[in-house]
Amino acid sequence: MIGTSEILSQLFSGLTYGMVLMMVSLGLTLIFGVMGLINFAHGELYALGAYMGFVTIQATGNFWLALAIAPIAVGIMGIFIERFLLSYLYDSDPIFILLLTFGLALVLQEVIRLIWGSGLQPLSAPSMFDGFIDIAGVFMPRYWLFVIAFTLAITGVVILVLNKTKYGMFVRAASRDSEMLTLLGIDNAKVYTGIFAAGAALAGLSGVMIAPLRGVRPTMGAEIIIASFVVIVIGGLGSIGGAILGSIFIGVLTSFTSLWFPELSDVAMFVAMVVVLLLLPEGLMGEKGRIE
Amino acid sequence: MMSVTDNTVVERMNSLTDSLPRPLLLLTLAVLLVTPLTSVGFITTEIMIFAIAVIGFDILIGYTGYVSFGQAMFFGGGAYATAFAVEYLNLSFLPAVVGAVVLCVLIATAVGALSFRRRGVYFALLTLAFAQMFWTMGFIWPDITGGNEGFSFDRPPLDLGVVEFSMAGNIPVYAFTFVALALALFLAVRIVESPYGQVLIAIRENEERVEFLGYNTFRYKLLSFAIAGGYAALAGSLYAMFTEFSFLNLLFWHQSGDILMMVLIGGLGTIYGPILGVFLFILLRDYLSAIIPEWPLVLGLVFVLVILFSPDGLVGIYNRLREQFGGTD
Repeated sequence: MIGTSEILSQLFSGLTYGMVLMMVSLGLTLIFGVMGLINFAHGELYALGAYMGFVTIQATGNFWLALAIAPIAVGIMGIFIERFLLSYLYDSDPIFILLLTFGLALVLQEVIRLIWGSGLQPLSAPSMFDGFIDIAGVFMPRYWLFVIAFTLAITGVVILVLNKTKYGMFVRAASRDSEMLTLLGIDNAKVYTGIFAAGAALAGLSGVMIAPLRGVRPTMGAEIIIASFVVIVIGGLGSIGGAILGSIFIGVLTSFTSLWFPELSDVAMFVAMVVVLLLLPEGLMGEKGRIE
Repeated sequence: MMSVTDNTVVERMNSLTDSLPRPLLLLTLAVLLVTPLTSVGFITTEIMIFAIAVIGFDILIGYTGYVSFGQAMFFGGGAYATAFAVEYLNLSFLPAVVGAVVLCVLIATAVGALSFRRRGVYFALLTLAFAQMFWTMGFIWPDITGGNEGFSFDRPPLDLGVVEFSMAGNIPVYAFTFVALALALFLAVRIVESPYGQVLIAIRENEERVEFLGYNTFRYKLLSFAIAGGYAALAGSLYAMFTEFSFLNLLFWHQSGDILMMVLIGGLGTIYGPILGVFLFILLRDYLSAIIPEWPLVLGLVFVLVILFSPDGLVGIYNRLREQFGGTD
């Protein structure tokens, strides 16, 4: 018999997983919303973030420093990828960028293997997050609570920057009509580079964030990317709200199916995707949710 | 939707037969005929099997212009359907292969009907997700599917009613695959040169205009998806028959990625080009995996370079070289 406490703890675990999905998908959907392209290597940027965090902690022992350095390092990699690879293909069909980043994902995963090996590396959270908090009789790891609070804070910052700042306005303008933006004297190329770097940084940040929960390994990027694709398809490609809703939905759904029908837990999100696709072909938020 | 070159339809049809040097084609045939008798026969059979998969895939990706990331669902699906047909239904060689192909064509029709609700990258993501769904389903009933362990079976004989051929050993499978490849190639060329194939090309170049001309593009696209699925299923089925084994990696997205890379490295929309891609991909993979464990790195780099500098693949490189230096044949 499954009691309330089990349901609650499953809900917390699902929310925590959903938060990691949220930060990864946020970057993906931001890049799609503005640039109209899907970055298949996004999962590898997330893995690289985790490894950057791992290296930083090995050198300094400071988790907070890792949380700061990893997104910056991965953001810089994002700038290089956008400038030296993607920008050559802006005149072709966006599908070629999907193909290019697919190849890039293969390359990056092997580069990670070459440098750090195939094994699982541990990365521990600061000791202040050791132990549990009692919520309604359920013991929830403190670190889960941090993951939820931190992701919501970062998501809030992203939404604020998009809606309240000058740069956010450029981004929204670029997603609606990039030609007009150019005519107004704003360098579209810089907006693209900036948004790709920001998306990459978000991926890097989420990589460090999940590392204390699941460890660091070369296949971690490949493991998260399909789930984030499902999230943004369910939410509606390019929609921030859709990515937020979709990731919480998928996180909680996966968690509960693993409680009640363990063998179906991996299939559940795909079934959800088919159902959403049949009922709402544009995703939960559809075109309305697009950043603009 | 996706235009690699600015070839008109007529130019493209000419390039289909001119796109490869004749000596190379003859050499390819010779290699295929001789090698099964040698120790590299295993690789030759593998090359022919994947050649079947990429020929069909080229009709979808190169002619219709829709990139699917889900061919593994039909390749692996064909392999598993064959394994189950032999083990659980006791079917002989031909009915097992045909049954697997028919089943996968039906699945492709359903998956295609859902995925063609969207276009471009959206379509690509949907096919990827559907394929992963089939992969995860492989874990649900390990007692039936073999789960992580894979599923092995004994290759059945080829029972034609009047006569029965034993398929034991590699040579009979090789011969069967050779015939299947020849038929698959013949059929594919007929398809792309038919009026139907011309509509597919037109959809690739400008889908909206084809719609305005009164064509139901959805049905044309769906049929090309089903054809690609059927070809992949035939390849997967033969792969399972050849190795007497089916396993979950055949359904994994890396498998879709491999097939996709073969087509693009060879040259989209040329039917023959992707076969060249299979040769290069498999030979490179076998050579590299013997010397470095991180061999996907090199293949990934080759693929990235092709996308950046020659999106029409090896065939594109050949054509440009010929234009630059070449005679006016």
